[in-house]
Amino acid sequence: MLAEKVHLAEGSTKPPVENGFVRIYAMRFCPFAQRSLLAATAKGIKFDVVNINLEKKPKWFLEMNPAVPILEHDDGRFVIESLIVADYIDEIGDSNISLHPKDPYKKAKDRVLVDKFSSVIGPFLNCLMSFGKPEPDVKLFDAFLNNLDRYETELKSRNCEFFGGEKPAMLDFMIWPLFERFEQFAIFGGKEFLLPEKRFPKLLKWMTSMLGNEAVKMWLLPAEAHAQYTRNVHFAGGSKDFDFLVNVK
Amino acid sequence: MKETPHLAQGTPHPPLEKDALRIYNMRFCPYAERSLLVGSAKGIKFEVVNVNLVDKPDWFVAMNPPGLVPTLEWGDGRVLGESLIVSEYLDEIGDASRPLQSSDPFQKAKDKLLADKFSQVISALFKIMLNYHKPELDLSPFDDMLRYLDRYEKELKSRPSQFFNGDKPGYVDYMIWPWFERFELLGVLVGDKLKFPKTRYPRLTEWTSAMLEDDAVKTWYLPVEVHEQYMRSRFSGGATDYDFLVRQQEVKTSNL
Repeated sequence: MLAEKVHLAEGSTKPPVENGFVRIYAMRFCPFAQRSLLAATAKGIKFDVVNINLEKKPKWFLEMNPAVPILEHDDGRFVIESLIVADYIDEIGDSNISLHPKDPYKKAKDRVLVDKFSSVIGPFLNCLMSFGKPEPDVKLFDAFLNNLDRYETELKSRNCEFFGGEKPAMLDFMIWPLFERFEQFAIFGGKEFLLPEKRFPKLLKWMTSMLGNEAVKMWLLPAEAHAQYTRNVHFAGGSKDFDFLVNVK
Repeated sequence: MKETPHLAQGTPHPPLEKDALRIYNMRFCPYAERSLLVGSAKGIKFEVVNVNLVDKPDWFVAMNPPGLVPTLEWGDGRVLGESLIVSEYLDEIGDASRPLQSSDPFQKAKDKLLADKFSQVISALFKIMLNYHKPELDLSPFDDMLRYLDRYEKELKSRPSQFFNGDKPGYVDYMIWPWFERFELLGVLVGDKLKFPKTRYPRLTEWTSAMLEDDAVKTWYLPVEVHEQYMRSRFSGGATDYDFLVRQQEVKTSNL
């Protein structure tokens, strides 16, 4: 079981990066940082994780970049932007494990699908924020579902367990973090905000398959943990507590 | 370079041989230009079909919704869009003796970020260019644009080579070039207040001259007067005249 780590804040000292290790700066509930963790785990690279309190960022962190994820080497070189970090991890890790498809065209098509997934992420976040208000906007949920249709269609046309075929590929890992968070809608709004089975049969099956993957399992958090984070940090009047998982035995 | 008409709604999908590659383009589109530069630099055999972007053929939109350029089409039906992704793909399938990206993963990642972040320069530029004809034009994006460009000047200065990617232009060079072809438009369309301050960017100015000597750049290059003519037509309020270059070429040919 993963030992949860405190989110370092203002006033903290930067923990040095161990020799031969790669460091990933993350925030336990950030889907973009989770992309790097999935890639690094799937590639089997040696890395440690430092969580950052994004409401009270340490000065030493801001000197590198204002956002997570950041991948840092023991010599101080670092890489930013979740997709660039993931590509980088694919390149520096074991070349026998390729996260990207080998075929340039398939790789390019998958990259377009990852790119276009921002059309799902945007409405997802808008809808989620709306649940923190007295009157959530149901139209935002519809907008989110509409943009998700394309991924159901695509998965159906591939006729495989994963977008990557028999195993998850980069595309599967890059979009997974958002799927881990969709159930929050049902937690906040009720069962009518679950992904409709009739509309997304392939994606729902894919989610079950992904939950069997070792890298996914390593970083997985239940929807209630994501919901608690959303309440704490994104809804008005929240506690801003990033570390509620740390002290739970 | 033979100029060809921009296909509009009503024109059929031109047939494409099974092993052939086509790039759908719009002659004045900087994003599409990226793919042409890479295609040429990598020695890839491809044909160009220009598309009228205000009156798109249905078959073009259906091929890869929402019908943007650049779009790649293979004769076997494979299709691909998104300028940066298309460019990386062309780099991968083209002449292996001329890799446009660094073989060092860290350098490659830094370069990807540079190409990616150039969207900040583009946004600021477009905020002005797409509104140049309006009486109430907010000029503050110009200062933002210059500040973003400062980073590219600084970055290029820190590199030992003539181009971002080495002794020949590479990925970063080609991804940002199309906008360097267009910066002068600001001064031309809006006035001296937006004249491009070359003296602020000595390294980038040298780089621009060097890029203008590059074969791929020369193949697709259009001078600022041509870009100006397109811009004025685009924002004239009437139909965009995409094919003035085609007509100019026809006149020249018929006068021979």
